[in-house]
Amino acid sequence: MNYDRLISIEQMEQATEILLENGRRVGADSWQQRVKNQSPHCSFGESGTCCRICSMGPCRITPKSPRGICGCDVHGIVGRNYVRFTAGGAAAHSDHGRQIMHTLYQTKEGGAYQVKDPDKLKKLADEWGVESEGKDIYDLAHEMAYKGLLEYGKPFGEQLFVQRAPEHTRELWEKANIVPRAIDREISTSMHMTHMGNSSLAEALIRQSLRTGLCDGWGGSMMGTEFSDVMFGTPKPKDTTANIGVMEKDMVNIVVHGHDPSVSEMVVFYANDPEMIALAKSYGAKGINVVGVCCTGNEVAMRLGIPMAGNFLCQENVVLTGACEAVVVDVQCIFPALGPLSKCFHTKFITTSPIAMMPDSDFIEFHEETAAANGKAIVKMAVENFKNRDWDLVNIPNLKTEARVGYSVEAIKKCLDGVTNSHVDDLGTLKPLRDVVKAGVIRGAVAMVGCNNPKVRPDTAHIELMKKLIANDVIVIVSGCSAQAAAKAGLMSLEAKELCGEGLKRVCELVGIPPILHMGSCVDISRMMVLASDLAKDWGVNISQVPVVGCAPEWMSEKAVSIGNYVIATGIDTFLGVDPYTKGSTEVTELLQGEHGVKDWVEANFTVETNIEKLGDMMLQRIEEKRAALCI
Amino acid sequence: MKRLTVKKDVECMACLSCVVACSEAFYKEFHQDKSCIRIVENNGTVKPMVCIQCGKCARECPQGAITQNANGVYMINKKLCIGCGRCKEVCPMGVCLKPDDSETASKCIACGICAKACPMDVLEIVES
Repeated sequence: MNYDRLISIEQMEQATEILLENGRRVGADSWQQRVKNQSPHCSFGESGTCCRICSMGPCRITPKSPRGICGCDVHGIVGRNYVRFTAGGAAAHSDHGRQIMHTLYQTKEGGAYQVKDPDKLKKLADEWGVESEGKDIYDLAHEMAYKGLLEYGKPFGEQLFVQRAPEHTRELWEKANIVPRAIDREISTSMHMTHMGNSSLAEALIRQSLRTGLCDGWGGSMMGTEFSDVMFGTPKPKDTTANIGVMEKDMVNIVVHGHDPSVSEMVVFYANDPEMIALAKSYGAKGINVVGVCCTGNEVAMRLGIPMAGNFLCQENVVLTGACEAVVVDVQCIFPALGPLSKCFHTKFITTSPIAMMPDSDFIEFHEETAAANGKAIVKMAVENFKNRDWDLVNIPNLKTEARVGYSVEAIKKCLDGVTNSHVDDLGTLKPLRDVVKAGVIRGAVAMVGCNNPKVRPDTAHIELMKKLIANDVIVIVSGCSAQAAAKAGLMSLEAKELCGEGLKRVCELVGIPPILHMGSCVDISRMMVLASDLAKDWGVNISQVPVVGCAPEWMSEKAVSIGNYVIATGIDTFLGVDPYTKGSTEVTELLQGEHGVKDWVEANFTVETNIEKLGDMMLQRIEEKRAALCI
Repeated sequence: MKRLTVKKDVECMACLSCVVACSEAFYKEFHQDKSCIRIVENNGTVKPMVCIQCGKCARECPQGAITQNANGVYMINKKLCIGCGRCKEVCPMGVCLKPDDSETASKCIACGICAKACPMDVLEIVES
């Protein structure tokens, strides 16, 4: 194959080994070492059979003690743990969304935060029944922000975005009694249901898990996505670079890490400020280089083309290069290890949110009202730190590849418009995608998402599955750390079409897209829900009938479980490479993975398979089954 | 002969209750390196490593501090032990200890505290 931009897992592992050696020179700890220290893991926790909800315990379910002190059986305990896991994830995503709405409330003409996509705001206003005609765009933004914030605590009614789902899906939700109400209510109800002495009926607990997931995916996350687009721009295809080699030896390197674009957007803005660049030059640097890690990396990559240094398990690597002046973090997925690690180097570990406060960090509290000043102070602190760099420790592995990112639903429709005959067909639909899937040129799609988890060889599952899928003419849409795995490996470049089967390759060439489409961060999985809904509507079938499946082969966070719940509740079968702490209960396992549980309610379920090769085969098989059922 | 054994048909959950019990019984604190029973993972299978009273430590001890008692259990005479750590080095199961902050070594005396702590009844003291 005449294609040399692919970076293999082995190359990445070699680079990591070089960086770990750098760390050993200064006595740094690493997650690799901590995994060894923490192994083996307690199977009671892993199978979900340990209950710590009251102080009579902890109770562990064993053959000789089949019930907890309160009398709860294993199904109740596993189910309660599962709901709490989901609630944690929904809370994190939705609070991110809430933060975005607060930021939207602070937008003003000429301010630090502005409305960059007024058309999208007006469209959303129409959807929510807010009159936009003749209104100042900022008045409208504030009104929408207020209305959005009420979605978190409104006493009655359902989530507004539920109206986006196809009618059939909404009927299923009604029937299953899982239509999401106020976001905070679903999370509180989950905590209440699982308090000592409440629900121990597995079915009721799983039902609430789906409902809580839906308040995230069709509530908090969706708001986070849509209104981030309003403020920072709806992503369009953009070229960027990826992997650890995006760190620049001669420049001030600022790593943005976390999830909330409100902070990183300001950091990027001031990194381009002539005053700051001049300051950097005065310290002997050639300029300021902002790179992203984790979902903040995805946010700024898809809107501003900021390079992606790596995903979740690369967060220590950026510091280990010895060339990182500052790691600026907002919320979620930030290793507390970064504090002590940064002390082994000159790196400033800058925390910005009261939600994520950590020892050994410099805390610069980020307020929407004072964002500009906060952003500037952070960039200044990083620039001034350049002089403290120990050049003996600077070691940036030469791994870097290209990626095209930024495929929002709007961007995908626009790409598809390019292959639509405008004389005959409507523009702005997913019909061309439907047609190629129907024709079998593309067999189907997989939404690949999720984190890294040391239980899986990092990135291997993501990358190997993606290669397998595209070789079988299955298009892959990705977000979160899965997206970065693809970008790091070079699978998001247009040239990656060479790895595709003939059908998908032809589509990539005609539409001008890579075979792996970057949809954004983990809150942006809400984009995938909109895509699936629109595709089903344009097709005239139910979401569960469309040959699309979800996959999280290396997931690790509570957020991922919340996502899993809303993805299956939306009707998309989901394949997991890591068990969600439920194998201790046959009842919960049957409800989530069997033919007569959630599948009866929402027409989709989970499949858990830790053998990645098998997981890929199962996905392909499921796609073909769905095709056969549609007689295509 | 009295010794600690691992039942074959019962799954170890790696909850470390045995490790905690052993360490707290003899060192009054929980530290994974201060337990005469270890839980290891090999290719995804979890297994307790226990003292099989093989006597290798006794044969290796330069002071003759380790001797077999009437029950067949090898015991360390703390008065004779000089803390050289040879027993730790030769123990095939890696369960003979010589913590840095302790002057003497220690090993499993088949007391059964770990077996009592195990919620799964994986461990038992057998006499044969």
